[in-house]
Amino acid sequence: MAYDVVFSALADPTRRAIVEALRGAPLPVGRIAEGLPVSRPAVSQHLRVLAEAGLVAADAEGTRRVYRLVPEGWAELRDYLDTMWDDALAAYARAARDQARRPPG
Amino acid sequence: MTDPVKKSVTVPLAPREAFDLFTQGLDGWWPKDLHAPGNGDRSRLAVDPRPGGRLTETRPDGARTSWGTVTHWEPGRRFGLDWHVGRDAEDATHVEVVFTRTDTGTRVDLTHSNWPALGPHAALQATCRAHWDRALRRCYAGCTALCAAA
Repeated sequence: MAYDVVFSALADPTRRAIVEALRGAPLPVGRIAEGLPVSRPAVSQHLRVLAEAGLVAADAEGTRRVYRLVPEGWAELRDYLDTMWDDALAAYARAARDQARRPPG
Repeated sequence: MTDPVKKSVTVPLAPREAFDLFTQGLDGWWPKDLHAPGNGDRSRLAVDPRPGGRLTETRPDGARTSWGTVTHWEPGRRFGLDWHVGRDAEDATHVEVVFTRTDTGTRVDLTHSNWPALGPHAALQATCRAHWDRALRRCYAGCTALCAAA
């Protein structure tokens, strides 16, 4: 999973609202759209972006598709942040050593 | 409750210097080539140095992304941030950085907590421990970064 894909997927307030709606229970597109000030096709488009980021998935239920959050996608997001702090603190420590080596003034 | 991410590193600077480098010097050391949602190393990072101030990333075209809101600004002691890149502020995870004087400099203890805000709890709990193990192995392989899971 490319983290920037997840970042951009979640940068949109409508998509965050969709994620919030799906936290309670899986929902079909129509039900998701009912609670949002955007058209149903727009919701479908947002769901596609979230699915490409690995955050939601759809299951067929009869003739309709029901969307749910994908736990693994969110776990990867946390894993990414863990790695990010490893990298960040290593870079911070390098910068601190460089600063300590510089003569004062 | 999912365990927070905890990292520690000791740097050869006084606590106030370590604090200033971490916060006001952020743009100089943050690994933007690896971890910047905007435009990589051409972005600029800035911290508004007060509680309620924002940590912002500014891209070359002027577009800004807020990474979070400063919750604690105690120079030389503590820096707290509600970290909400790409999320609503009320959904923020929390980053706390504590600076403690040691014989050789300053120990910097970072805690990134409030993970349930990131998604379904059960999945995070199930995978958290494995991720920690992997992250710690990678971190200890580094030459100076000392990471510890409390």
